[in-house]
Amino acid sequence: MQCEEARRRLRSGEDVEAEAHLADCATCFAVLEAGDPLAGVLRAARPEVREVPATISAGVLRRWRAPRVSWRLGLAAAASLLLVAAVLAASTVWLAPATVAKPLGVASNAFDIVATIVNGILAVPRVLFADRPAVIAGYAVLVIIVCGLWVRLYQSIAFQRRRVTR
Amino acid sequence: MDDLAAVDLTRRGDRRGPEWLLARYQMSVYTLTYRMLGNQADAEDATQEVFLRAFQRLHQYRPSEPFGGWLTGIARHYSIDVLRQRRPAADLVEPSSSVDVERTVLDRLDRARVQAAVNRLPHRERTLLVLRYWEDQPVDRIAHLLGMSEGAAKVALLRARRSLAGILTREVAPDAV
Repeated sequence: MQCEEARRRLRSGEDVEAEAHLADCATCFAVLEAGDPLAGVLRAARPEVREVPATISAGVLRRWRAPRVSWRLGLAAAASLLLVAAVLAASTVWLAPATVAKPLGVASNAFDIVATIVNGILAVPRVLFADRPAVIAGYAVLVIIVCGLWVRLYQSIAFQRRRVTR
Repeated sequence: MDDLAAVDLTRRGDRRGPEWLLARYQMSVYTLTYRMLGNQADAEDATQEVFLRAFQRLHQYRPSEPFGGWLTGIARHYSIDVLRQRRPAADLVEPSSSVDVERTVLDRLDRARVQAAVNRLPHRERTLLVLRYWEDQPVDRIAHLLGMSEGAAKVALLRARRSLAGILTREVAPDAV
């Protein structure tokens, strides 16, 4: 359908075919809207607010509670840090030093560092539960949960630092 | 003080932060919710709720974007949620057969009458017209906010204007119907 025909039909009443054209035609929408005096009347009738009720500010401040970092979240994050540290220590020092590809000190780039940490974290279950993949998978899920806790804790306290480094 | 400093104070639990943000933005949030919801009582409740939600979600705010825009985004979404939860308007609106309203009808309209007519529309049509003509939102943004395609939003806007034309024509010039 041509634009002119669609506009003519839309101005004179509802028309499914013409509306289908309108849905895909930015020009027809703009022309119809610009030519509709009701659009101007609507804009002119826009409600303006001159004064805000004083109860709003008082109500918000009464209901607002200063945010606090949850002690449960902090405790969980601290415990997870201990767990990760213990696993890293056990895997790199006592249990399976050979499974660690490179020591952290000589890692040449960020990828090596991450790979070394991941190797270290997974070394314990790999050595102890080599024949039980479900346990290894469960351990991996636990590590992901621990990471999630730390991300959540970071989100709740990190705004100040983000602002400074922006 | 600037927005970021006020946000920072709010996050740290310093009352000066929310006080400053309220003083700076309550007018724009209240105006938006008043236009969207159509009455003072609902707008007051909504404005309070919007600020409280914003203060609770400050960890989601990215300092690289304007705080005012982030806040009005929350206000717009909240108002649409409120409108969705409202009961449908009791009276069905008979749309005008044409999008054009008689010039004589338009000449007899005042702001209050147009606002009252807009408030009589079903919530979805009312929301479309408010977002487009009172909040100056582009069609693609309106479509996104209401969860429809851009094409559907264009057609819905045309139909909403027809519905409004129907109400106005019946009220101002009943003989013309």
